Amino acid sequence: MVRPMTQPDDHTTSMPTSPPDDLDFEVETEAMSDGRRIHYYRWPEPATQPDEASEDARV
Amino acid sequence: MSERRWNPVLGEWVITATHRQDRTFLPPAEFCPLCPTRPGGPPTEIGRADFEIAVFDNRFPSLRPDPEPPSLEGTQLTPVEPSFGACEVVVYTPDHSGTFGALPVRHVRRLITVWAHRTLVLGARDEVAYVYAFENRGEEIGVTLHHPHGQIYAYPTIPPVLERELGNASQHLEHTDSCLWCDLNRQELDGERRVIARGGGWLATVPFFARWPFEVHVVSERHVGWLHELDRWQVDGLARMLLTVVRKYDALFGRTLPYVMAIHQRPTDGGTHDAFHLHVEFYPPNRSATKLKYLAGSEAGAGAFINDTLPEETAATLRDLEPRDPSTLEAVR
Repeated sequence: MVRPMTQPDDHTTSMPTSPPDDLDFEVETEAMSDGRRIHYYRWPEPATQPDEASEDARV
Repeated sequence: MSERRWNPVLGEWVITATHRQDRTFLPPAEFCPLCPTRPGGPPTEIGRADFEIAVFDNRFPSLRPDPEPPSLEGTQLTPVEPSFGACEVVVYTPDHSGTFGALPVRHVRRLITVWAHRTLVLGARDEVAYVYAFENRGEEIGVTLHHPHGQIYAYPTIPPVLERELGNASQHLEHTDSCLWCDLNRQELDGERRVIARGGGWLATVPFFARWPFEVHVVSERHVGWLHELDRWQVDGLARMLLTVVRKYDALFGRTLPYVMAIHQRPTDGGTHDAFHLHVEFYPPNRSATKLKYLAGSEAGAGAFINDTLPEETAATLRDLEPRDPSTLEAVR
C-alpha cells in the first residue's frame, strides 16, 4: 500500500480548492557593493498566511 | 582563476576554480553572509533587512558571464576554454535556523517558481546550454554555510550526467516511441514496491537502480521538460512532494538528514530534447544513522556504484515513515 503524500485521514482534502497564486511574482534587481547583482523575489501578499499551519500539516 | 579543461579520456570538461579555496567556511551565525543585513550588524550579501527569497551572483563563482582568459594555452588534444556561465545563490528564507523541510508549502511553491524563472533568465543567454538548480545540505555533503540556501549553475555545455540521461532517453524514444521516465513510472506503479509517495501529479520512488541507499527520485506523472511548463496545480504538487520526501528523510534518523537535491530539466541549448522528462533526484550520503556511503575505489575509480542496501527495503522504510514535523528535530545541522 503506497502511503499518499498527505495524511491518510485528510487525503481527499489535501489539495487546495483553488489554484495557488504563487506564480504571480515581482523581481527587484539591485547592484551589490562589488558590482554583482541580487534579485529580490516578492509576492503580493506575505509568504506566511494565518491558515498556513493547517495547510502545512497536510503535506 | 577559473577555466574549463577538456579531458579527452573521459570526454568531459573539468572546471578549475582556485579562488574557491578562500570561500567563507562555516562562519558563526552572527556572521552569516546569507542573513539579512540587520541595523547595526555586520554587512552581509543581502542588503535588505528582510526579504522572501533572494538570488544573487555567487561571490566565488566557478562559472561567470565575463570569465578571465585561461591561465595557459590548451592544445588540440587538451583544449582550455574560459569558464563562461553563471553561478547563483538562492537564499530560501531570512530565517538562519530554518531548513528546506521547515518551509511552509506556500513558500516552497514560491521557491519552485524562482527556480523556474532563473532557468528562463539564465537559459536565454547564448552561452548557457544547461541550467542546473540544486541544494547541498549538511556538512557531510560539504556545505560551508548553514543558512538555508541552494545554488544554480548555468553551464556552457550539457554536464556529463545530464548528457548521459539525455542520450539514453533519446535512444529509448527512438527504439520504443515512448519516454524513458514515463515508462519507468509505469513500471514502478506496477507493484509499487519502490514507491514511497504519490500524489499531486508526482511519483517518488527509491529507483530500481539506486546508487545510494536512500536515493529518491521525484518524477512528474505528466511528460514535461522544464519547471516553467508546470501549471499551478503541478507546482503545488511538487512543493508538497519535495516536502514529503525531505520530512521523511528527517524522520529517518530523527535529525536533518544531509542530502544533495538535484533538479534535472531539459537543456537550454536551443535543441528540442523532447525525450527528456523533468525530475528531481535526492542523494543522501548516509547508509545508516552513523555511517556514510563514500565514493571509494569502485565508484571513484571505475564509476561502478555499489549499493549496500536493496531499494525495495529502503523504499519500504521511507514509505512507512510519517513525514516529521520539522519543529521536533534535534538541532543537528
